[in-house]
Amino acid sequence: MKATARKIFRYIRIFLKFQKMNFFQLAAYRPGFFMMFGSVILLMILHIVFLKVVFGWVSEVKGWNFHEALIIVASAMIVDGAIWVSCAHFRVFQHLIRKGSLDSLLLKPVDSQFLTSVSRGDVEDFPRIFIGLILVIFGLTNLDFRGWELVLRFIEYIFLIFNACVITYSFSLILASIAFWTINTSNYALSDAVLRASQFPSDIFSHEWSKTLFSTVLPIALIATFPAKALVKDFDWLIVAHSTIVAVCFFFVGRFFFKLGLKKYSSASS
Amino acid sequence: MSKNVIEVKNLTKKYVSVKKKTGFSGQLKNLFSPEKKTIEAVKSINFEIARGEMVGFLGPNGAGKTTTLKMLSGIIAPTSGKMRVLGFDPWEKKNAYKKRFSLVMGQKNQLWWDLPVIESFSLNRSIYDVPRKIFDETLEELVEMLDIKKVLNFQVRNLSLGERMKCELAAALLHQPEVMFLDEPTIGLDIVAQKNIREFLKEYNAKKKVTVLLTSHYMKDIENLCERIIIINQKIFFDGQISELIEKYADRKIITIVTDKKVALEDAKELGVVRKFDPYEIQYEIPRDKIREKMKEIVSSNLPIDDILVDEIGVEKIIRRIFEKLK
Repeated sequence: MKATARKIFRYIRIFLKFQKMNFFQLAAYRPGFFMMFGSVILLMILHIVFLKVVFGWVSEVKGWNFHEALIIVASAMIVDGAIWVSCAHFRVFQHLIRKGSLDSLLLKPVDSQFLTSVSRGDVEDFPRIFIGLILVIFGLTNLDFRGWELVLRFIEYIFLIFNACVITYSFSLILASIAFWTINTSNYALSDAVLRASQFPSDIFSHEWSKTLFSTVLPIALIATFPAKALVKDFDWLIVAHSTIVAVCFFFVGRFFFKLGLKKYSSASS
Repeated sequence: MSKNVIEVKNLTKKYVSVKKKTGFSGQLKNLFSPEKKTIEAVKSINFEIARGEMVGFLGPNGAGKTTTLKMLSGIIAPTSGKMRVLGFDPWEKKNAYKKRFSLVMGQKNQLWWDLPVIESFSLNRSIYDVPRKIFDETLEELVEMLDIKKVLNFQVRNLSLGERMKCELAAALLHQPEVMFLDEPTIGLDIVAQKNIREFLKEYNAKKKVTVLLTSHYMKDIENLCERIIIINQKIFFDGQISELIEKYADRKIITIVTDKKVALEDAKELGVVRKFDPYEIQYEIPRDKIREKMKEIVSSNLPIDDILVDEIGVEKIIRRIFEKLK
């Protein structure tokens, strides 16, 4: 027990150390530092403007009004931001494999999946989390939830957002790990497309087969619509159970894929 | 416990590679019916290295040196055979093993490019879980031995190649490994920087009794640091002391005649094929079994001899000849 706790603290320390290193690295070039933050903030504003334009034409989309839909967009922002701030290596994963740069990470006495995931974090994506949280609070103030109900719903929401992060991370890991076999394949575009699609209420997919697909193997609905639903629609523990089961499955499949891929890793000549 | 720190038995590594065809039709064929071939990078090699030994691992380009080091480090899987390092099977990738060895590749950088050197050292402390006190003591010792105090707070990208390699070595030694795999640690360095790295490695090995397997294309590194060498060209070609290599493969010796008067090249050629010529110094390369005979001939010649020296051919030349033969 004591050893496990020590191990967890050690991994947290390593994670924080990498976060610090990534921040220092970004801050080493002042103009680039401000430009990157600026472009992320601008992108977030564009998402909101786009939503506002849509709701300028219609009062609701499949039962979601503007403030409720805003929480979906904000949730997607939070998940997106959390993934890129903490483990951005999937964007460049195939380069590490092709150039043999994964070598130095594999030599370290730390879990290889953990190290590969957290050794790069894009600190400039932090505003996504911050703006996302502000938008969630703004959306909630315009809805009629007060007192304990709001607290319970918010706890459930945070839990579902955590699951969404696990699902998004594992989904990206599975796609990125394909590069162990194909060497020069970037599947980042597909994982990014899933994140982009998650910004829309998943109820727009009305067919039964699409609902099943997007809440299981292609987990678009689980990333933002499910957490937002728990916060502003039906208070349902089944949503939590569903999301948790999918998150656990994705996590173990992702880990299995990564480990299988590592066995195929052939490095590159020096 | 076995005194051998590294044990390699029938280790083989095969790669499947696609034979790339050129031209547009060739590229299309590559896409739809690639011609695959199996390359044996390492063929059933065997060797053992004892604790504290510093062994030169030599071979021409593509001989399988780096592949062997990567297998011993657990980065890539062997196709067949066995290996044990410090009692561990490297391919099991145990963290307990990773804490006890280091791999330094002269062509790859593990320091953070845009950050001061000390930040990378501090990161390694967290990763290797080195207690603060031990880290501080080790760092102080390495900083002094490598003379890198003044560059600790410099961004890595602003360092010279020599300074960077010293810092790479320090980063690789902060967790006090018992085994070091060094892959071309002096590549691209100027003569002074190469010498500094060599001196450091020699001193460190003497002090810490660390086991080292070193690859280098600079024979000076090998001659200065290693008593034993392993020559590989997919298979092991030679494994033994440098003196054994000279005895086995240096079939010639060099005779140098120093004269006290100027000698014409034509006169020097009368005694045989001249290897090097200077009006006061002539060099011949003579088969070992003909030395006695040639010496008699020289002494009875008309050359104004002041001194005669007989030397072995340099290790570098022997190894160059072996590599040419292996190709």
